[in-house]
Amino acid sequence: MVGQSDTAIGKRRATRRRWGELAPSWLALGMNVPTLLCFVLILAYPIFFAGYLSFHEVGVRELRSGEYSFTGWANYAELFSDPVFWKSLKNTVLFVVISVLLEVVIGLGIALVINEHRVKLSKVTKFLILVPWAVPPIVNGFLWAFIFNTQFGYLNRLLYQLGLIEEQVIWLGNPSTAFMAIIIAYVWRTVPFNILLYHAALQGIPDHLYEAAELDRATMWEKFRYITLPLLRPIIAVTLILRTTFAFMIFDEIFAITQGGPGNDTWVAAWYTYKTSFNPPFNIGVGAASAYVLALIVGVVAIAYVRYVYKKVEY
Amino acid sequence: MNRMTWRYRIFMNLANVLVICFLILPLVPVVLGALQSERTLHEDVWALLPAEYTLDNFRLILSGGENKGEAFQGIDYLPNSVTWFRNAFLNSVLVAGSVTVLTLVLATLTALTVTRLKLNWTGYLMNATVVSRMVPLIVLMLPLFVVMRNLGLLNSLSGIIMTEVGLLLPYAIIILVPYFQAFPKELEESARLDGCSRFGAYVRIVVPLSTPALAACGVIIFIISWHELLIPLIIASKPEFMTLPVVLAGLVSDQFVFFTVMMAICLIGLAPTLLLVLLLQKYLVKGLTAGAVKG
Amino acid sequence: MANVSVENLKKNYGTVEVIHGIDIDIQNGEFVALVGPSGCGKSTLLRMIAGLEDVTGGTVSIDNDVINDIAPRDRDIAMVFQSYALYPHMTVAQNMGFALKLAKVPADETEARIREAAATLNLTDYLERYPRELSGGQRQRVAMGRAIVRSPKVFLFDEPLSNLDAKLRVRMRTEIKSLHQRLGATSIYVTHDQIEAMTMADRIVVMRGGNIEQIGSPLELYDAPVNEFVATFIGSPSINLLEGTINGAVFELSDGSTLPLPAGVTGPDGRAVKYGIRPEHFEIVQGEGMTVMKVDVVEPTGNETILSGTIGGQEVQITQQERLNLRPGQEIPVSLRLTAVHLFDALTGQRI
Repeated sequence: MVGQSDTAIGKRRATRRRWGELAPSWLALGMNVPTLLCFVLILAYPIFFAGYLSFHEVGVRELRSGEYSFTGWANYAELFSDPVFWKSLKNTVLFVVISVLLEVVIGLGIALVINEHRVKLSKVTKFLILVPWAVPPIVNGFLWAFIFNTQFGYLNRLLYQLGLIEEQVIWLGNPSTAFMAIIIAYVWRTVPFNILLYHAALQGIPDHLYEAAELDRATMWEKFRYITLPLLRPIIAVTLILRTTFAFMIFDEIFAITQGGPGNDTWVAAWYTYKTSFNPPFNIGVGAASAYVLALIVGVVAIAYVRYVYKKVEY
Repeated sequence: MNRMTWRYRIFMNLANVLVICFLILPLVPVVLGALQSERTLHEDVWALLPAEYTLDNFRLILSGGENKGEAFQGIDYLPNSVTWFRNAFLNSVLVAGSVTVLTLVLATLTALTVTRLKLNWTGYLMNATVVSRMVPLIVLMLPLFVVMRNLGLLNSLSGIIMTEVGLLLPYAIIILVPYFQAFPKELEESARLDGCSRFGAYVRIVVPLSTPALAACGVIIFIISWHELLIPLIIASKPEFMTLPVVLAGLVSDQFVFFTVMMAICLIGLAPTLLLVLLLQKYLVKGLTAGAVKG
Repeated sequence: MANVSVENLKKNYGTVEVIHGIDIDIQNGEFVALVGPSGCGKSTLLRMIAGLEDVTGGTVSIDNDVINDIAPRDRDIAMVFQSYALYPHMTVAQNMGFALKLAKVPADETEARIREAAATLNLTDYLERYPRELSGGQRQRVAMGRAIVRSPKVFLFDEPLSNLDAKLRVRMRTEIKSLHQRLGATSIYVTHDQIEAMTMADRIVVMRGGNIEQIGSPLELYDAPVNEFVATFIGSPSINLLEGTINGAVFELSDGSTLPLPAGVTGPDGRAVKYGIRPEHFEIVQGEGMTVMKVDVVEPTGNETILSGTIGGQEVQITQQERLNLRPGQEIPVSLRLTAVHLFDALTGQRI
């Protein structure tokens, strides 16, 4: 039986018309039609259309009629002459810098703590690492709004019980503490991502490097400074860039905690776009212009990411 | 590295306790808030633990405002969010579920071509993917709002689903690519010699063997979709099409009146993803790590 | 079973040509080994026959039927991979029956064929196991079984023994050979290990840099290598090559000492050549030999003794069946079997 060529497979092949295989390029095209369609419709076209809108007068009336009149740079002129826009931009940059730095430092610290696997408690910690990430951003906003609430917030309750305050502190009514509250809320939710990446990178560092350093009588700090930190540098670069681009888009926490308040002291770029476009007087043209400015800033960071990080770092 | 001094051991244990507090302490007020009545909350503004616990908030939400219980006796005005809660929860399940399935299918097809077929243009496709992952959502939402308005897809679940698929697709591709890249090419070749077409080899061999990766990716997509606020907020303005985050967002103006109700909705809103995260932690960690750095 | 032929076959990766138009004819039932150093194109050639690589130029045919554009699945070819490529989510039986299942062979026939192949390969007890539960040798056998149950026209082997330890490799070598003798199926076997090729193949194709250097039976290659590359690639310890010139009727080494030329070889005086002689073709003689070897290292292996040293200042290795009592540094008179001497042109490497 075995060894004869006139078996079922042979027969099938003989009777069936033999097809050439679909060329890889056609197969690839076929498999990517839906994705390419999505990219064009949901990503590429809107980006260009946003540019188009930013050079046109687009308000409620124009949306209804479907006719947008060309206004040249008028939307940008209006945008750049609006002090609130500059304030939002300044707030955004401040927010990005502080929160990304905090994410890196706190993330690194916690990653080092859970990396000490000889401490049994670290298993529990590791299990809980993703908890903040699981909280929906809008819920996270309300959660911190509740904590920072003046009248019955839990921060005031806690501080009072600890004997640190006598009267209720107005956290969200004060520009600087409100800004701080947003940063705390945001960083709490996003730091797990950094912890994961740092932890993965830490586990990639072979033990014998530390053993060799120990033979060289390196202290804990020296081991961190001369082995851990240099080896983590690539992943820190990754997180710096990734988190920066995401921090620029902060929206949900602003929405839930301060709504840009007090006054317009915690307005950020995404909030500015949202407010100008979807609140009276629905100035979508100016909104598009401000969105485009934000996209340009993020685009520069994104290109840096693709160029210098995504291609080179390998784990 | 073998011996730890007792001082180091105590220090590390303390550090772990601190980190655990950092991770879960902020969630405690949600639970406490959800389990007390508005009256209790206002009565003693200094107490950490409420004087009285009640499940009335949950009764109210889950009954869509019908069952007012003791805590809401005599309160006539109820926020929209309470009335529409059940509907929104259902919408969220529907949207996140569809988005997950669709995204996973499309992302798998693309990730396979990028890693297994290696043509000139698939490289560009990958670069485009990575860049589009970082386009600020708000930039897309303005034109998409206009487009959807013209297409008549505003206030529809399909509009929300389409937009979220487009937005999450790059991320899913980025997560899947390293997995497929590491997949031994001999298995696929062996299947092709055994009688599979290229595509057949993907379906019969590569995909079944990648289920852990697909599961991880799927859960991540589900969670992000469940969390998404801006897309449904802009596309759905009618309450019957709102998802959970949008309904929650509607509470913003009512927050001083109904903080405990809000915390109860928050708790129910975060429960599904929190459960997923705790149950599937291991897979998620791998997926999230793979999504950031090339594998 | 079938004959396979490759005509003027070329392969480009981008603009780089890696296979430069080669021709091979493989007869029905023949066991052919493709050998050569890594990067010589042997695996690429095999993968082109399988259909896993595109053909840039020329043709691949099975039974005089050009199959360049036929999909791998329709070529009726089975391949055993170096990594075995067993499907991890299928049991041994499922692995072996996968191709039959795809070909819609009736279940009872599939079952019978799997049983038969498993019996041949001593895998009967492992049919329900998963590949991860098997040892390396067993996995290797499953990979073979997967090919056997299909009764394909052609078997392809891509370095199938490289992942096994030395002992198992020798055993599997014998098993594959006896299997081939029983099945008589056309087989093409890629290896970088010349011993595998020598012991198993009916014919060997020696490749280098995308070209075929020589095709022939193992002993033909051993006894009559067409050039210096084939001579050194085949045989272990490898052939000795002494550099020097032809001077009248003798070969003159650089230090002035001479060796006799094999019968019939003459050449222009002063032609630079390499004088090739295999280690076993030396004989230690009493009294006057053809030349003198200075022994540096003596390595007894039990069945033979390898002597390393110099002749005329150039390194040589010779093997002797007798057990010898020699000291390093000793000078011994040796003779060589002139009929086994090959002369190669020093520039082109071709045999004279």
